[in-house]
Amino acid sequence: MEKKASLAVRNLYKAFGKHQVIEDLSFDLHAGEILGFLGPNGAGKSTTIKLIMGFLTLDYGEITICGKNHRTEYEAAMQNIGGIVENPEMYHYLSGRLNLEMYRRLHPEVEKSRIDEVIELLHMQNRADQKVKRYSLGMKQRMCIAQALLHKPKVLILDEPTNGLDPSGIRELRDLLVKLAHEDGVAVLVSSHQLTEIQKMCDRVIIINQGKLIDNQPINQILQQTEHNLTLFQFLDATQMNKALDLFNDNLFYKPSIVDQNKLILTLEENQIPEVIFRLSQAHIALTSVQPQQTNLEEIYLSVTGGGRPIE
Amino acid sequence: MNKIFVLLRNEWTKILHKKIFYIVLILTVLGIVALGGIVKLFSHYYDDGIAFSETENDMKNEIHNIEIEISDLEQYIENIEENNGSNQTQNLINLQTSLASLKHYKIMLELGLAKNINIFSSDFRRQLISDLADLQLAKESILTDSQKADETVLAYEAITEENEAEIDEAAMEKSAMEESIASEPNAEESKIDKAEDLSDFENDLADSNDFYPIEKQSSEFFEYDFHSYEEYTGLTIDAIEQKIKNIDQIIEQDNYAAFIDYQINHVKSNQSLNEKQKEIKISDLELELQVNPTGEPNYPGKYYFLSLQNIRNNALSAMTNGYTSLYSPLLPIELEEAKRDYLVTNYYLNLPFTDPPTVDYPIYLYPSLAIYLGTYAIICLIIILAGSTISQEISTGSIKGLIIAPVKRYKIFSAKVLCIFSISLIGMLIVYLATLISSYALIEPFYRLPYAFAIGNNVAALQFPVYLLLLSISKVSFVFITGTIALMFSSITRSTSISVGITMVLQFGLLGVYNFIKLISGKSHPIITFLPFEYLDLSKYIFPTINDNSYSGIIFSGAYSHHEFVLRSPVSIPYIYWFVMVVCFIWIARDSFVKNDI
Repeated sequence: MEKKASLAVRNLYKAFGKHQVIEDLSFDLHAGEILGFLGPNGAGKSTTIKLIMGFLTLDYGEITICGKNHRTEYEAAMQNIGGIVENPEMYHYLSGRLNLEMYRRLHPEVEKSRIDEVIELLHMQNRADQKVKRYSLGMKQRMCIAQALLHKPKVLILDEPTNGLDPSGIRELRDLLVKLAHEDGVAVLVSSHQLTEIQKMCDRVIIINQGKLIDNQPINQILQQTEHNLTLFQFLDATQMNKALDLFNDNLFYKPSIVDQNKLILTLEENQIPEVIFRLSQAHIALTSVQPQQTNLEEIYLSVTGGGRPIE
Repeated sequence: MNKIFVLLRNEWTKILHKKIFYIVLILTVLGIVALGGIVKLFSHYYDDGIAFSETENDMKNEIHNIEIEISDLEQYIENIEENNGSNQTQNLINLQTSLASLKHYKIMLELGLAKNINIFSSDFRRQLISDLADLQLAKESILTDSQKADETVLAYEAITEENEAEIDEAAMEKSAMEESIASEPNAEESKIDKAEDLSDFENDLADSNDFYPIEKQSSEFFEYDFHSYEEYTGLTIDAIEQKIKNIDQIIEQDNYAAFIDYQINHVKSNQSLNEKQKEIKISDLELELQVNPTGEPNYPGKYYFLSLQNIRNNALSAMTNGYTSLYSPLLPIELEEAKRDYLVTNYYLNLPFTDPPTVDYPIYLYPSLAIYLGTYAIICLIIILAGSTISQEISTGSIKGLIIAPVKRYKIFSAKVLCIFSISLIGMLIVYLATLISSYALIEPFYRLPYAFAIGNNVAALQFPVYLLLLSISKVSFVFITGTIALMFSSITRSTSISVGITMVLQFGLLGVYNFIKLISGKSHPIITFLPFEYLDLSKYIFPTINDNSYSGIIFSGAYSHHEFVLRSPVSIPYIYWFVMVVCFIWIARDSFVKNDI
């Protein structure tokens, strides 16, 4: 039986004038899961998030949050969601604490003491009573995350949450999100260009481009799928490598990609590696090492979205 | 609904942390207090009377000047009589009247000097001297049958007869015109045109010097009323001597109470007054004695009492005689107005005066001026706050916190509208308190007086704080509708500067143009009714006094005119117009905010 999604997005369409920004986008986000939401600039990530958060109106499609229809049961649906969209913004002439208090009033079930809890959670105790206009970008980001967590939402949507955070802050946030998802069962959607962080924290990744979903897989699956395909070959010198390239030109299936003056990567199935080594040996090309290439999300992302290094 | 109030609370939390809110309110309060100070500074408080010694030389100089004037005037009259004969009869009569008045004035000055009385400063002493002058002229007329006295008598009679003839003629002409209007009940346009003709006609009559009653001319000339001496010419010499003796006695005793008694007796014996008029005049005199027991030339409340008495007497005279102070026959509406004048002024004059108002004109203007100033200050505040409430939140991104919250957008919008309304209300309450406190603290106990208005044959009265409160609250209509205009532009343009700018231009620019058109074209000009500002401020329909200066205007606005105070039905064009406009502005703003992307 299929697990019920905390956030279900179905056949979303959104256009600004004649420009179709989102086209037939569908995905699910489950409780306890951290979903990385990737895509190049202008792909439609922020638009999707704004649609979910109620900033934009849907042209077509359906969004369900914890079983509540976004269109027909708006308030009930939004009761279960928290998040930040684009830049962290609050009422700059109010203190961080007062901003949180105003937000709390809209969630009558939340105790006042919860404000102190989230302030402590985001390490903002010393600055909570200062006006937001005195905050750095990182502090604003922390306070906005505190606001997003204030009412203990079941779905947390964070758009570029690491913006302005220092390395320790990023790590703390990562740990916090992992804890929220894995221990408290919160469904987390994270949109970010910090692919290393996404790779480290996310359970699954969806990638969109030009408003369409182009990939949707668990992160482990993506990494496993690709880690044996790319193989790094290191030659004695550039001459040897050029000889190899001439040899490989006969077989474009290997998709050679130059890494360095004496290194190149081939796209190979596991059982093809001995064969390639044998052919290089026969051609008397001096090979110093062969190793399967451990790929990362960045390379996959660039590869999938067409923005990565070309592999010819 | 609960969430709307939570959002409203949040809106107020934001407002209370905005410096502009406090700056405008503090400036408003300071402005109101400063206005009170300025008004107080420039108000004239009645001074003590001027001593005889201070004006003795002035009186001597005045006699000298008047003698020259009399001589010149006599020469001039002589020339006219020789050269033009009967061609300038009316002009001649006027000149002879002036000559008679100058001579009367000269006698008064001479008597004043002889009896050491300063006729410039003491009302009652001057009145006595004036009466003495009349008696002396009457005595002279009887004893010598002098040409001087006869000329004066003839002049008065001729003018009176001519005036009466013209009054009758004007009354007939007006009556014909009214009948003509009444005979065309369906021709509304024609009715208006003819009513305007009628009004023009009345104005022409008022402007006509020929038609102006002689009593009016005389009183303007001397700035006080004097008894015409011919009313004494029917008395015997002994009776005149007795009267002179009585007056001399009162002058010698310098007894104000005796003077009042003398005046009361004079009123009682006056055949030209009916019983009601006599009763009123006697009560006025008794009141004068009550508020000014020593007969001081200037005393607390002089302006107040005299103005009220003047209006009441004019109203009573109009009701009794059937014509206005301009001697045109009363229209039914004018009769109603006269009745209301009488009721309201009579109400004020019958109040127990323990501490009457002591200051003059500008002070009476203060409350309405202060409310007017405060209203515009709060309008500025509301334009700034309402003009930025949506646009600024969107431009700074702070709207995100609201949008993410589990509330529908129309609730967010409703809270903002309620916030604008509550700011308007609270702003005007602050204006009210500032005006009330400064009225009491800076001005006078004058504001203990209630605000009175006529309803039918009765008088209703509001205590000053209640009246001022209702007036302030009625101004909320103007502030709020301005806020909704700013809100609409804020929602449509999503730009604070544009929305504030446009609303400011609309409010102060076009309204200025509107008022200018109103000023130059008159209130009844049809173009006014097509402009969108006519009905934005409902306060003038709830309290017409503030703009139209009606009966209580003498108390609360410092002026007097013939506009009525009427409790109007809330279902009338101004209210409907205002309501429709507010709904339109809010609807457009709501539609733009709720349906558009952020």
